[in-house]
Amino acid sequence: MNTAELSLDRAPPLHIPLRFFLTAPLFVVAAGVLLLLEGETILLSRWQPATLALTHLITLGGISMVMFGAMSQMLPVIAGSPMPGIRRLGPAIHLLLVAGALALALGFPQASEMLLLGGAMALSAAVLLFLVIALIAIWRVASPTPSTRGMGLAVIALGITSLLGMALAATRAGHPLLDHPLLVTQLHHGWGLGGWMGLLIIAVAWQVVPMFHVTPEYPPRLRALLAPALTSILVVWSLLSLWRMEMAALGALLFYLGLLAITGVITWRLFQQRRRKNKDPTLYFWRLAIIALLTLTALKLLAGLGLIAASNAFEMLTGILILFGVILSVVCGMLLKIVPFLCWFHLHNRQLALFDFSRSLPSMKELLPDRWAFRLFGLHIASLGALIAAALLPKLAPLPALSLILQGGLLAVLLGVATLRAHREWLALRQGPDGGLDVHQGPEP
Amino acid sequence: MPTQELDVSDLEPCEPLQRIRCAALALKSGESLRVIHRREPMLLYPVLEKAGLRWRTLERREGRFEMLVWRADAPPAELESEI
Repeated sequence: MNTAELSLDRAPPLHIPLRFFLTAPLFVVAAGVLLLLEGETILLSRWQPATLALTHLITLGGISMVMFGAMSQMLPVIAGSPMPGIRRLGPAIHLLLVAGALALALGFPQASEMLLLGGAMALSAAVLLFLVIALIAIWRVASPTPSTRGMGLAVIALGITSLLGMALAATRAGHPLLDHPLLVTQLHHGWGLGGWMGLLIIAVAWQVVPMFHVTPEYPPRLRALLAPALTSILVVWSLLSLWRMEMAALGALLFYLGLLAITGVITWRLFQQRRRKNKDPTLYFWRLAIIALLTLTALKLLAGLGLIAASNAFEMLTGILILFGVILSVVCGMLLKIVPFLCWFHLHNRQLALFDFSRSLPSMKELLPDRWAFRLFGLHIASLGALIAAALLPKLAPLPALSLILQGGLLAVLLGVATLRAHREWLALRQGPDGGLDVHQGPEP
Repeated sequence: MPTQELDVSDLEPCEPLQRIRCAALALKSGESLRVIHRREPMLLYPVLEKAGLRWRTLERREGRFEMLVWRADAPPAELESEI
């Protein structure tokens, strides 16, 4: 969030983004519990029903949950364009996303038609509502920026992912809508991971990296061109995949990863140019994500050159690197900044409304102390390392399971405590007409 | 010359706003504050307005903003030359 462009009076009520942010860690815990219950079968192949359940707990309940919350806050605040009806629709979208993710996670292992179809419908409804109001908000942005354009492309990619997912769920539930489910699965992965998640992380990075880490801005040309270029590559990759031109599709995929890897290196260099070289836990998450991205790119390149044989273990390893190494690292790191910042932002607005600055507000680091954030990073590293080890030796599955439970639990506690601290601070400010933390009303203009 | 100077360009959110706000609200009639920041401090403006303060901000170059803040009843003499 670029403070130069923050729009005070357009932020949604705090309860809208917070409900998404505070729910996400619970899905990481749920993923750990599932891994503990199912054990090594999850790590044998990406096609195992329990593996699909675990994947969707993380991608929908963990990652997309945070991304929905982040967009509901960032569009109005950085672009001055609120998502229409977010106060009423936000809670409904959240409930549908939670219900859909849980239904899918239960439906895959049980091969339950009702749960799979019900989950897919709930998720489609959540995505449709979110997509419509997000695109309206993006359409209304008075001065589009690379971030808002990137968000628009990410949301369109989410719609494509959702459509493909719906067809796949129907097929899995015994209503075959597809002649080539494997190919559609591949496209579903590509648009979900590379489109929705990849593009959104980039769009958000343009804002949050310079702002939170006091780095120089990203090169303007990179900001303007990267998201459209990656989207174009995804379209080309999809067409090549549909036409069964496998080598060309692999080339497109490697080109996509190469561009992302270069952006990762640029981000690393920006971090090196920080004005204050303080130890920041979020930075460690970012750097881990970049290392995972470079490793993933190298592995895919080696596999493309035929130097690594395709195997279930290799597929699991690359999947773990993408989901846990790259995406979840960035999401965890961003949550550690965004939640305390939002709490502080709303407290500041409250002080402004009361025009009473006699009380010094807690800093972001007081709301979420660095020492605990570093412990979370330690658990995240442990989860990632244990998952990689278990991908190669599935009998080790209980280790990442326990680590994920601890990681999700600690993240939930940290975010919850930051929110409660902010709430206590709110109560200590002079009471307004409604009292309590601004969970029912938006900030006053 | 402004009576106070404050460089917050190296600080992470939300420190710049807190420091500028604190220094600006303490200004007395006839005093002024020059702030150097890497971004335009938009969140600060409503605070200054409510406090009866006046300000002028210029982007000297990309990533360097200079702002002069003063009490409404006593514009600083250096207003034209400084900002």
